[in-house]
Amino acid sequence: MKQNRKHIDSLIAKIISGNANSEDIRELEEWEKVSSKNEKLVKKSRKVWENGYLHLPEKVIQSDKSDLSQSFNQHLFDQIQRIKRKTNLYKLAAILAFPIALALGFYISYVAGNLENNTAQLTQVTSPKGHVSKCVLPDGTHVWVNTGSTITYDISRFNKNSREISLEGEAYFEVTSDIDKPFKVTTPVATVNVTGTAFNVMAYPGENNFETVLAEGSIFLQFKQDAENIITIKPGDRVVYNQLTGNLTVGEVDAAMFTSWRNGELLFKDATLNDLITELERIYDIKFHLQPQELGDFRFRGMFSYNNNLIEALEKIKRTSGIDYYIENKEVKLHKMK
Amino acid sequence: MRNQSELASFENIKNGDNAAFNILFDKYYVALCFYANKYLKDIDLARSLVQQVFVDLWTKREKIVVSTSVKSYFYNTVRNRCIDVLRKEKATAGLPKSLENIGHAPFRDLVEEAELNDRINASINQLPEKCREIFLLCRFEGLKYSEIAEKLGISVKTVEMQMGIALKKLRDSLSDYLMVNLLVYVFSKKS
Repeated sequence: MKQNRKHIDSLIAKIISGNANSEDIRELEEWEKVSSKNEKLVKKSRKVWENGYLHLPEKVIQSDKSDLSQSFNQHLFDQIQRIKRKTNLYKLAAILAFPIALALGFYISYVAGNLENNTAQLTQVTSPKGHVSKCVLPDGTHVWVNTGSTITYDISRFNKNSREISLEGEAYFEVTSDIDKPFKVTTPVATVNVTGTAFNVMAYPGENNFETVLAEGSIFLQFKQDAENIITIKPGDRVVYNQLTGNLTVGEVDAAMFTSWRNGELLFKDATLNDLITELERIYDIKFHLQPQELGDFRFRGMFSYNNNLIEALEKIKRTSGIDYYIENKEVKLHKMK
Repeated sequence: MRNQSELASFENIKNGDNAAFNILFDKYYVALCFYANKYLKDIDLARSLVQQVFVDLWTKREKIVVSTSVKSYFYNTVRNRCIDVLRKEKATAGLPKSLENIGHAPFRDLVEEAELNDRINASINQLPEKCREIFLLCRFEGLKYSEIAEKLGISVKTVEMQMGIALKKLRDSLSDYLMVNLLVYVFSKKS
């Protein structure tokens, strides 16, 4: 029976491909008559034959695929540059819409005198990787939330007796002056108390340094570990606190250096390559690989400024340090120029 | 649900996801080439046209909007570009016959045919090497059994057997679902 089956298969192939003699043809005709199943099988075979009229070998398909994949990766380049620019007006509007809507809702309920609502209504603004979000709080304070950072506040209590907001990551605040309602930024390490001022706070989870830079006005700093000790900071001061060592340093800096990120600009002074790539990784959601690892110790003398363009930054690195780059997917490989 | 995940792949490819690119390429590339070939009657031209459609996916991603399904986006785009190519040809070399012939064939039929071509092509590529070699020589080089036997230094009987095996495997690889489509297609053409 099995032998017979194979014989029929060969016979069908012979006939369809035009290699049969009249005897073969007669034999198949007889076989087809036996059942409609047989008939269908022959019909299906013909269809397969006819519709397989053109052949693309696997090799060709795979080479087309790798060609395409290559140009795809090239465009990824361009893609990475665009991630930042995507924050266009509409996006900004969308980002602003939520807090503004909530603020509006808050005011409406305030006017209605329906404020005795004690349940916390937490509002969160998060900047996705590669974006800087700006939002306006109910009191008119402007906040720029840096990439990958989050601010949270309780809409039911914010601006009632005080203005409290918690921060994870980095944000720049331009606080509307209101002496009666102190503005507080809480981070896991320290709380920043202000009245009306502009300042930057950096407290990324997983990093040991807490940092704040004051652009104008004045702020009081209160650390969790030593709540008694309140530090007052003058404009232009930068406070860095290391959680591990407990080291606290206060120094005068150019505040613009530390607040430039909100305009999509990065300024570095006497930074190492490691500092630079940590920042670039954060902004673009990419990964750097150094070959060898020691390249990271390279120090850039003077100022390294950069604006919105990853390739430009990489080219600048290449020019000043002789470290070449290679981009693959979302990974950037750095190596010494040959 | 399937359409949803495909749309997600489509969005991901626009955002530079390589895996998403692979999924869509594997699923549509060859079928689209066969489809374009129906218009262009030139498989190499068809290939480069389809490749351009893929490249545009990420270079012009802001402008690309998928309104219905990923599949209809691909087929519509390929068809429109084929027609553009043929129009340009027409301007330089008179009316192309291929456009005339195909002008009336319903869109759906051509898409289904292209999918079937793709399916069979994939099955051919999966045949055991010897079997495939013999089948290709017969089907695409148009060699007779005796010529194949001579060329490969095997017996005609072996060629017969291998051809039987090849055709059976190709038949088996077509799912019942496709067969149903096919029969519907065959009958609709007859009527």
